[in-house]
Amino acid sequence: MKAIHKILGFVWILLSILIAYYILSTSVTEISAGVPEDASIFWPIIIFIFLPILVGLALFGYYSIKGEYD
Amino acid sequence: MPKTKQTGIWTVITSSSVGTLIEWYDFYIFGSLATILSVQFFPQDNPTIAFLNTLLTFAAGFIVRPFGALVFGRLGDIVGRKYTFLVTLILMGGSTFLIGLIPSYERIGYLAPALVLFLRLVQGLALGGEYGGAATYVAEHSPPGKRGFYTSWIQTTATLGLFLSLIIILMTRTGIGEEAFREWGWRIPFLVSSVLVGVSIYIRVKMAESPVFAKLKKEGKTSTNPLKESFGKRENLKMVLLALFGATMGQGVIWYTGQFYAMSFIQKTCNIDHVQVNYIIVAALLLGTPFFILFGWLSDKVGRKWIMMLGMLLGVLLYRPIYTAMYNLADLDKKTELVDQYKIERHVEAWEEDPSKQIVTITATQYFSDGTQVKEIKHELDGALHGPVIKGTVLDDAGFWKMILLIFVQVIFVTMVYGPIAAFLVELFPTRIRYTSMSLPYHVGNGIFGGLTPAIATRFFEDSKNAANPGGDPLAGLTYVILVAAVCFIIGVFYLKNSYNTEES
Repeated sequence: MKAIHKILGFVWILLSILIAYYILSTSVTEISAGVPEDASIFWPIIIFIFLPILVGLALFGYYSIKGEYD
Repeated sequence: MPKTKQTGIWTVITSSSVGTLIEWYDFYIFGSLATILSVQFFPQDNPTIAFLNTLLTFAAGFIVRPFGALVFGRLGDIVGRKYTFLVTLILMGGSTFLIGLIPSYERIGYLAPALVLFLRLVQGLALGGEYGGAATYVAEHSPPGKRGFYTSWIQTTATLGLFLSLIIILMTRTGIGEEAFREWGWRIPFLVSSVLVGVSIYIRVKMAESPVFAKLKKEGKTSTNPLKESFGKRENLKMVLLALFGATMGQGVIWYTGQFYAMSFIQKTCNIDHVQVNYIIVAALLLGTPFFILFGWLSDKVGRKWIMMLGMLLGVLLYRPIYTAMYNLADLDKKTELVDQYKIERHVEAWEEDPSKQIVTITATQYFSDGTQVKEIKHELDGALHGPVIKGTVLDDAGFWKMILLIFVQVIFVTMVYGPIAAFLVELFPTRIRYTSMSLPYHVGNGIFGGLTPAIATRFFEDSKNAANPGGDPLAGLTYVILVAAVCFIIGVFYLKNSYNTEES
């Protein structure tokens, strides 16, 4: 189980980075295109909410690598 | 832990549950009336954007729940559970009542949605403080071997609050008529809240403080800074993160998919008649609610983890087939219309606002071979369209009961993930920081992951529309839910223990 936690820890860190990249790149694309119309409202809210959560997911991954859940 | 007599625990459960139920009712009438509120409070030049903005305002109440959890969790861990309960109830009741009084966008312009948003945020803050307190309060009166069973009664309140909101909306709608309801009658469920909250405050004032917390306070062992202890110390912070990513995140999306997203799906995507939607949801909720108690009780026997994980797994595997079946039940392309039975009825009556004029109600009904009907209702004044055109599919009896079954199955998933979770969260954290520590992951999981489900799912659906597929993929919204639940399932399986017991538990 320790080995699984260690591997998964890297997975969670990678996942948090990928999701953050997706959110930021999609928001920039849609806001600059102005399509859809609510992009300038929708994406700032998503960024404000989910980026701290993604930091938490990365931290969870770090704790997992360090064996905190073993 | 001091033992509570049998009659004492049921008084505790009842008094906690009633207030929590009323708070859920206050919170959910907003979501249940989202379609009407989008017309009342937002400019109508783009109805889809107006509806999305309503969903986002609805979601705003969810987004601030974690902040409410921090504020009131801290208060509950320093001052006490009972006092915090009263504050959250007063805030929730007051803001709900005031939403019912806000003039429409037509009358006061952008001040209308601004006021709605502000009061919605107050609702969210209040709810953020309510649930953690209710679950903690009941759990701290419960013996360890029955904590799941006793706290599961609190777990029914969210669904019963939704159920109560739908019942009151349905009664108001049928009592005063659809047109009056859309114009002003929608305010009644908000205003009724003041009566319900008054009763709850009366009950709560009579409650005693949690005996576990009272003992801790007497001994001078309460936390002076529960926020710092909960989130500034690794041994607690890691458990907060585990509770979120391994349990409440998945539980939140399963909860909202099985109830709110299902309702939104059959109303907006399947275009089912809104009265029939209410009957379907009410029936599915009524049939499914006892299972909260069952799974809470079962978790005392076999542990919390695997019941919750099974509920998530079933959602991940079965949501697409279930929603495909729901969509097909209402898909008119798969039905045979009885063209010769097409009927148009005209009803003429004096217009209430100016009796010298006549308003014509035109009801066009399409009939299909399986018993399905599609009704389109519009009103004309002086030969011009007056008000919105209301179109809805009315399922035949067989389709109606099949739809109830499909949503009932989803409610079962909800009861599996939600029934045991109050006891699970309580057992993760020590008494001195319990209210704070359990409230945050609960409200992030439910308020954010779950609460944003309708808005994000609607967005996925809108994004699936293109030139090749202008109608979009009706199941696109499930992608978010399935992915979140799948990640949570994996974390829960590999990281959670089947039971946790802090020394105070």
